[in-house]
Amino acid sequence: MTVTLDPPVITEHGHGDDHKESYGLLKWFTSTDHKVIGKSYTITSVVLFLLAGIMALLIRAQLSHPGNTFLSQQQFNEMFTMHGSLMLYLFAGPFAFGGLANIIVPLQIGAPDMAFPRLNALSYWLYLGGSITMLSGFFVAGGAADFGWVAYAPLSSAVNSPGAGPDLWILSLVLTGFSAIFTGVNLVTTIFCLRAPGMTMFRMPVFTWNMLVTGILILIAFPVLFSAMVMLYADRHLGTHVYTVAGGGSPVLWQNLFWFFGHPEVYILALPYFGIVTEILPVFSKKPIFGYKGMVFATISIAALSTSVWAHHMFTTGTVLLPFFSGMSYLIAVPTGIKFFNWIGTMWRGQIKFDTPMLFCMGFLITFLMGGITGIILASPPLDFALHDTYFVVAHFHQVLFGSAVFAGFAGLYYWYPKITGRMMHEKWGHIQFWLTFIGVSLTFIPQYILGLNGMPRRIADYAANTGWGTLNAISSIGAAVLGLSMLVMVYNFLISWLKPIPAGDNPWDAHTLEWATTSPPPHHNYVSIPPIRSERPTWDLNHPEFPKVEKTDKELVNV
Amino acid sequence: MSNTVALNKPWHPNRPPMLAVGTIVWLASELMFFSGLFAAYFTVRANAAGHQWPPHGIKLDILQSGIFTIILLASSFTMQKALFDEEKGDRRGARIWLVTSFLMGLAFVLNQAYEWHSVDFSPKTNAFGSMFFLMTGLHGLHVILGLVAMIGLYARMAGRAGDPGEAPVFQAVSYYWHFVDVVWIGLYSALFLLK
Amino acid sequence: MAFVKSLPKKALGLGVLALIFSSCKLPTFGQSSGATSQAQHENHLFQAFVVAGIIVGVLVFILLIWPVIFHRRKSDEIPRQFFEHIPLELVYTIIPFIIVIGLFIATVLTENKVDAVTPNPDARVTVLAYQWGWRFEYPSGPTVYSHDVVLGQHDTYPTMVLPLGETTQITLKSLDVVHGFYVRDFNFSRYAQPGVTNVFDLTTTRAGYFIGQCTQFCGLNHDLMLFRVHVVPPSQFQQWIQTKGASL
Repeated sequence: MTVTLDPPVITEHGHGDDHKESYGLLKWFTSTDHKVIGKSYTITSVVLFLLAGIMALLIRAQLSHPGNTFLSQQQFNEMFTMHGSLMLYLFAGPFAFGGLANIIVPLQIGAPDMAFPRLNALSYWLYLGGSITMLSGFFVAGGAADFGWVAYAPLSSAVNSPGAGPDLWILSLVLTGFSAIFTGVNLVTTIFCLRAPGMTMFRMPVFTWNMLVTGILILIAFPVLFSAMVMLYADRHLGTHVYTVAGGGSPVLWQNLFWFFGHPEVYILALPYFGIVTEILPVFSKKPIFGYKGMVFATISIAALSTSVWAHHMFTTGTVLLPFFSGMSYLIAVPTGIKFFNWIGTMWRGQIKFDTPMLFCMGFLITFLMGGITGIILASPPLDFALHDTYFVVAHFHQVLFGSAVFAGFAGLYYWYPKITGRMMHEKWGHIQFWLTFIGVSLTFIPQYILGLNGMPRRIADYAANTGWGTLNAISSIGAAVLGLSMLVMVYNFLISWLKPIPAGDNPWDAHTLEWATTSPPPHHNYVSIPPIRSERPTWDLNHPEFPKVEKTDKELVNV
Repeated sequence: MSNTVALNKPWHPNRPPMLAVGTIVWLASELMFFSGLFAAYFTVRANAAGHQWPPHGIKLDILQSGIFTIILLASSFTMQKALFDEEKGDRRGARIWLVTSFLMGLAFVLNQAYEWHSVDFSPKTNAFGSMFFLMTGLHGLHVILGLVAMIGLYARMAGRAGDPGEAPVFQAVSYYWHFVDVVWIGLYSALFLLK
Repeated sequence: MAFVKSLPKKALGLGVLALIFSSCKLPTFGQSSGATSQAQHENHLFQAFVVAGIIVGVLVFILLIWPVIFHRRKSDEIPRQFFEHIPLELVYTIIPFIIVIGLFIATVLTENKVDAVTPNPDARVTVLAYQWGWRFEYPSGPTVYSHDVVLGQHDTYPTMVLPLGETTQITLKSLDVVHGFYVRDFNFSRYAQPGVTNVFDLTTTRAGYFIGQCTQFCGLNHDLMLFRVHVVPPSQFQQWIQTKGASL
């Protein structure tokens, strides 16, 4: 069935004729192989995730009871700023588009590598440099940035936030911004130019589709953040007046530019994870994706809408056109709903097996459902007036982001770990981790909805006992501790998989997409042979020839 | 269908070169970068006190910068001519037109430097001054990057003839150069002409 | 599949019911029932959204859990491979769209009430936010501002006095960074921003003390930017104005 081929040599992409591989540390430092870079990205971003998680534990410890002096106000402010910055800029995005996508997208489309391997390596080193730059803020006089991950002007000005910490923060975002843009260029070009024969756009796995759209969103959003940061830096150090009222500038401009980046960024952080879930559900249900094209169009419309909803973060500024931005925000519910129902349709009447990746997907679906519905509430300006900047919002976006970046992210990690390493993760510990994570996340964030409704503002370092917020905060902090425990279980699971390898085989899940047709781990340049691609699940077609998807024509394949 | 799918030749011969696709995709992000600057500029303009624009006391030499605008735009045409020559195999012609484009771009940057020196406002004067220096400065940086790329391209052309990577690089540099020129039309209109 | 098909229709029906029921007696779902007429409008909308959200959420949750319970792997048999069902997909595209339009209309109606600004308010207060306190300026009346606020001791919070049952127009500004003016029982917040003046009306419906706090992070002592609102009968309010804050 498979066709054996000569190893692919792509003259265009620079290192195709150089097959010599380095080994050991040198390999790690000099490699332009997308799998090595992807692994570096994954490990770095998970380490940063754990660091940001420790910061979250410190925040929750401080808030566990009223009148606590565990952290000073200054330390608290630095903690939540760095927690948010690490999670949003350095973990959730890079883990998806630098880590998993870097490894998986070329494999899924049958490409030997990314389009620009050296640019890919540059992306990683910029990302690592940017991450170290941001963390180094803790070690300079005046401490790390302490104006929140949104850095609202004029709080982020030189007068209100002096010191090197904020400058390092800006520099870090410039470096990681470049890194993200380069990765975006690489992903889009790879998907446009390096698909294997037969891999038409509408046969691409949905994960690859979502990464294509994510790549385009990166190219739309990050440059705007970049220009906003350049102007912020100029305001801080060159005395310009872009965000200062005094010289005729506008502080609200910062919010507009920031959220023009920030809202597409939310979907940059969500779409890859939607893609992961869309890969896993059919495999563990033994069924094709229900409504493949609907899924793709939903992704595209979410991305398109996401560029015109930014001001729903600014309803209470009194400076934005409320009905337009609320209407556009509501509309996002429609494609998101399509995705949800398609996921249900995928599982419907399947043969569902609850291995760890599938369990994490269920965690995603349930948590994201709650976060999505409370999101609809927040998209209504009058309701947002009542809930804006309270813990209701904190609970909402943590459920959304935790649902996607952590639940779906871990689902992807457990799912593709055998492909990447050739080893299985331990199922039993995976299940234990899932249940701890699920209980932890629910216990942490559901009480925060009630806290928000009871009037607790976000980003306060302390609150009075007579507010009555103590009990719910204590529950939330216990939940955070459970989450911390679940992360230890994950680290342990990685360790035992490292020390006592369980061989995985090429396709342990009986998965559908192309990457499972090569060996685990894949060879240099990924494929020795590529099965014929006649549908969106070539590996399934190969393993289950008795259940073909009827295709009208093989024209594309013959013409190549 | 044929059972042997050859992977060791270009898979899609009719597709544009990957470098060209990558460059265009990257230029899309550059466009968004300048959009951020334009958004800031027009916000500042909308906030201007008394709707006086440009603000009181700002004087710019529209004619002189207009002449250099024309020079920069003309360099786009000379660059395209260089690319056509390269594609025809006339490497001598390509080199001459490349040098011409380089000199025109250099003239533009030098005029920009002179203008920075001669205007009687600074980035600290007011928001218009800030945006003027930020926008022309960041655009100027792009022009300088383009000039550096041209030097690199010229150095590459000095090598052996028939380097298969040369034509796509030539194409990429010319795409970039056109982009920088087109952005300048917007900048010139907004900063110098808009009342 | 017939069951699945009929569900969205039921969802729509229940959604409409939810909007009808929202005007009846419902719990406030953790929110304040509102100490201003604007806050009450907001809470009605919130009730409608929560009811609609619960209905949609529970329906989707049941659909989600159904295959989890009933379609678990029992054998190695490969289930029927179905790829799409265009009419069904259209149904669950159009129905959420209709629900969303309903929510949008309800939003705009409430928004117009909450954001309405009368040309002739009964009283005016200028609220100035700064790092890290509040100043309440009454034209031809007293000026109240923060000093020595102690967390939890309400009598140390600066107090904004409002007349009961009358409409007070608040003019909100900031002297430095962005702050958030928020009173939980008013179900309302608005940014105080440099360079922007925000104006809104509060029509009080309940007498008493209400705690307010800065919600937009504003630097070191953000958590100490507390204040309280004291709603008193109009006669008492007038007396308070005339005595420059001496009475009360």
